[in-house]
Amino acid sequence: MNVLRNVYQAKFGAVIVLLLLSGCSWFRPSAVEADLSPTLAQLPAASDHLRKMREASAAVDNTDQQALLVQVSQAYHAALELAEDPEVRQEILQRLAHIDLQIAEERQINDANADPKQLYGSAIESYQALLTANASATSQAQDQLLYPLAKAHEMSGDIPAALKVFDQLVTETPQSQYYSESQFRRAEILFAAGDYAAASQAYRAVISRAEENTDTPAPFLLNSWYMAGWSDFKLGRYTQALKAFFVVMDSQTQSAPLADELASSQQALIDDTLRVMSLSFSYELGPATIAQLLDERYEGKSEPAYVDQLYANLAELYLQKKRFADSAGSYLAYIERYPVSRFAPDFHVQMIAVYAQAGFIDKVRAEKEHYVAAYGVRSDYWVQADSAQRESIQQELNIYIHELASYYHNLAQTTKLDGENLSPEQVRDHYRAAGRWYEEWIASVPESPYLDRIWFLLGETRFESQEYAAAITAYENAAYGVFPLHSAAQTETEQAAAQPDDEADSANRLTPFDQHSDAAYAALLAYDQLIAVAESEALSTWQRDKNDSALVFASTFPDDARANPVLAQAVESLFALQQYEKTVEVGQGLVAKLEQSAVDGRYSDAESEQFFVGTGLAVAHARRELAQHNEAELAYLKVLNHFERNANSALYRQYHDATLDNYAASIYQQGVIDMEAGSIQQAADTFMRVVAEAPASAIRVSAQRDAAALLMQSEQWQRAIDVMSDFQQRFPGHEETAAIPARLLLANQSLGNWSGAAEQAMVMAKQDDDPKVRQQALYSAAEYYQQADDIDNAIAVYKQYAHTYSSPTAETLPQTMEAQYRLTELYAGQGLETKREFWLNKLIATHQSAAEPTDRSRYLAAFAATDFAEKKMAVYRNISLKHPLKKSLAKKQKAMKVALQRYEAVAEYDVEAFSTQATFRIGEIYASLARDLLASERPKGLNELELEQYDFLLEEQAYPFEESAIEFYTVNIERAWRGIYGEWISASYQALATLMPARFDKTEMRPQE
Amino acid sequence: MIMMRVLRRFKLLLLSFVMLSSGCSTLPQLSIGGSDATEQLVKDNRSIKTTLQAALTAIESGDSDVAAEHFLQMMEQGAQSPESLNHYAIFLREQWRIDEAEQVYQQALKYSPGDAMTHWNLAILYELYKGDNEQALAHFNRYKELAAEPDKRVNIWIADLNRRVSQ
Repeated sequence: MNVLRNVYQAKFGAVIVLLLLSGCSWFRPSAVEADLSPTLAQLPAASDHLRKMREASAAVDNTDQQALLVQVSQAYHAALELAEDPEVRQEILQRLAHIDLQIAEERQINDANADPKQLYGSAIESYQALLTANASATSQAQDQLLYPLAKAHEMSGDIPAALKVFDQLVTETPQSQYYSESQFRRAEILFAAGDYAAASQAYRAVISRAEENTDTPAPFLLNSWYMAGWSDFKLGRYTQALKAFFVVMDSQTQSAPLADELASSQQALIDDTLRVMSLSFSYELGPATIAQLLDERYEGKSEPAYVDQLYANLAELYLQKKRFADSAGSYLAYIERYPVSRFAPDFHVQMIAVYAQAGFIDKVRAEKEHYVAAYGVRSDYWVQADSAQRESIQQELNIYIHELASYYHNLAQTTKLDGENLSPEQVRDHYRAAGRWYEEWIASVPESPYLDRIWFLLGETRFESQEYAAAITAYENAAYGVFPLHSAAQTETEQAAAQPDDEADSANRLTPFDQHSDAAYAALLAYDQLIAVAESEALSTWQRDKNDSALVFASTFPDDARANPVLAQAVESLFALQQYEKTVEVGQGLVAKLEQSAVDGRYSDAESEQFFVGTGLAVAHARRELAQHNEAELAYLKVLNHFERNANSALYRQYHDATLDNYAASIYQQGVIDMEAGSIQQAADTFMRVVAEAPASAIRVSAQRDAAALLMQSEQWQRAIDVMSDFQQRFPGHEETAAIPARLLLANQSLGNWSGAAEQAMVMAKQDDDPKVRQQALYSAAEYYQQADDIDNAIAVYKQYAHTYSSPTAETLPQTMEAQYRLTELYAGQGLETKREFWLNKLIATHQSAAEPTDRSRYLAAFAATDFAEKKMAVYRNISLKHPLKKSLAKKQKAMKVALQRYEAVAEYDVEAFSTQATFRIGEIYASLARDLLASERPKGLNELELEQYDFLLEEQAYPFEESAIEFYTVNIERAWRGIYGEWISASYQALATLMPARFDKTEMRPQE
Repeated sequence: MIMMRVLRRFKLLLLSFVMLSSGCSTLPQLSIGGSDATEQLVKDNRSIKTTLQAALTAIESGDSDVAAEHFLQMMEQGAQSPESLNHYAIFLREQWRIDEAEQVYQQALKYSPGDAMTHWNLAILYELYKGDNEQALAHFNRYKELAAEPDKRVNIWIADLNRRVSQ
């Protein structure tokens, strides 16, 4: 019995499954089927399922089974004939009914062509007979008959009869073990008959019973939920239906994995459930309903894993119906509800695809922007994403950012060209936006093979939006950035991966970047923009940076046509920034490069020549600033040499003179350094090199002047004279020229060239501004003439002096008198006594009229007076006493008086040298008169006595003169005692030795050997 | 015997030298009137004499500057003899260096107070070149005392001086 039941149940279970699976195709309305047809077509036919199940559980041979049942039936028939007890007969009949039913089932399975009514007729009759006989039996017992009867009706195809029996069973025996199954059978029949309300009720009865007895298995529960959902769906009670479907979905997705055979069936169930759920949602409020139900069902619990499918399926459903906005809205609802979901990026992509399909271009772009913002490398999402997610996002980013950047760039360019209604600032905003997308690109696709082009495009947009610093960075990255992938061979696939998919964007397709030099040059232009408006520190900073960039440009692209202009400009700027060493370094490089391109020192183009000159000059200037004057000289010379070869050029006219001046100045500076180092002679030579090498330079005058000064200082007199004389001739009006005569004088004097010195002194006497200098120079000139033995000129100049300064001041008195004195001497030398006496008289007169006479003036006056006295002395001396004595004596005495007066006048000057002379001369006058008297001619004819008397008389006459002589000589002796000596003192001793031998003729004893 | 005599003479010479040497510092300042007729005259050595000769030669050739240098050298050599010092003093007087001449004479008298020549010369210096008749008189008198055969003119000169001094 138990065995039978088990067999039955197992088989019936299999049938239920069969019904369940095939039911989908039975019950489904054609409209729904059309919606879901692709999957339905793949479902296996019901008979296939059955066959498979049978084959799988073929524990017993079918034929054997049937034969066994026939044998058991025969056995029970035999037993019935023997049995008399009604209860026993009832039991046997009941078992026979079961066996008949079983045999009918076996036959139906084995013979598809057999008539069901015929097959099950016996069993049905048996059960009906038993029921009639057992009308009073307990409901418990009745359900045992009702259930197989209903089944037999159903198997025989008499569905209304079956329904009727099931109705009876659930009504009369609600506690029956067959209650749930019977309700389920009813629901199925009702559903198939289109009575969805009754079906729903029946399904829900199954569910209610299962919920009441949660501790016992509920084999029909899931199917009931499913079908209840369908029933409600059919009735338009979508929310109700959806709740049921959620139960089905949850049970299917939460249960343990099934065996492979069942897994596909389960998946089919899930798929169908999801489809009908999508429909339901679409009939309600779409994604809002999803959210609402989820919130209700899973409040405080985690939501199921299939939520994304709900949204995705709904979106797909809308899309199929061309409800684009609703489709996109479904994706958006999910994204908004689950922003960090791993499906969010993909949903976003789907949403963009929907908009694209709908042709909502603005929405597409907006959502692409949202996508980059939401999942890009700067997003929170990116931070938490794993590498697989990132890789997936990256692919979209590559495409979107490229599209967006290109779009905004194009937009900016278009508005710039014909955006009449846009202000420049608005155009710049467009460029700014494009730039931001290029930046995003660079950040998002750091390994892009087109990175250099992207940097360049970024530079272009930043330049246009006047963000020049950013433009520079971008351009320089484009020009000089190291892009490892760039040189590596790119497969077409790799390149294509970064290209926009949209055909419309084909214009923006990237090609390998080959404008590196343009990018580099654009950076320099951007620097120019900054420099144009920068001030103070910022200005010099930009200039320095630009120069650095320029140098990199030139070294990176040496053959670029712009390399030389760039370098030339950099050199100029370096110099302006006072970076002199760098100016030299870079400038020399450029100059050398340019020189190589020249033919015979000539340039084929004006620009190269200009660079050569400009840079050459900058190098030279920098050398000077660095105090490298030798090098500066050579650098200037190089430019000058160029000018010499190209004397007709405009550059010559513009720069030649200044260059010459600088050239000369750099030589001059070397001289200054020599001078500071104390190398005077070398300094002079260097200064003269300026004169020799650059005679037309501005500094030549100074150089020659300084050279002369140094030659004077180093006592190179003749060279100094030559240099100064040349200067005098060339620059007569130069202020320095006025001072040259004095220096020439000194140089000539130092050389002993007295006539030369005299000439310069005469020039000074004539030209000097200072009257004192003129006066002194005139005197000096006379002295130099005298030294040169040019007596005529000496006399002439002394005379000029003495006449010019004939009324001397206290200051000039001595020199005037010296000039007068020199004239007396020079005329003496020439034997011109009269002229001499003129100046002797001048000496006396000048002293006499002097307001402040000096010792020297007194001396010179005494000297002159003595000269005259000596002449009178000579006159006196020459008068001899002859007979008649009286006459000659009178004459001599007259001369004597004159001489004495003169000597007394000399003595009055009280000048020792001349006083002693005058004293001696006076003594001599007296002594000689005494001598002459005694030696005078005697009158003739005197006898001896008369002669004796005459002699006595003479002695009487002479004696007083002798005494006077002694008296005057003695004055000189007494002077000697006071320490006054000289020739006239000595002479006085000698005179006295004769006149007074007893006292004065005393001589020392000299020791004898 | 002869050797003994030679030795004794040598010892005497030696003794006299010692006395002279010590006399330089110990002898009292010679007064003009002081007399020691027996006093022996100082002699200069050969090198001093050579220097003196050089000075005299220079004077003869009229080169007084060179002569002055030689005389100075001579004094530095330690000239003390009346011969050397009188030559020098006369040279100085001729150069009108009267006071220096006086000092040299006085120095000569310090070493050789009994040298008549020095007194003669000094007397002339005082009389003619310094106008100091008293000193002149004293030194002429001393000359007269010292000279073995005094110049006869000195008597007249002394008389003249006496007269003038007493005036």
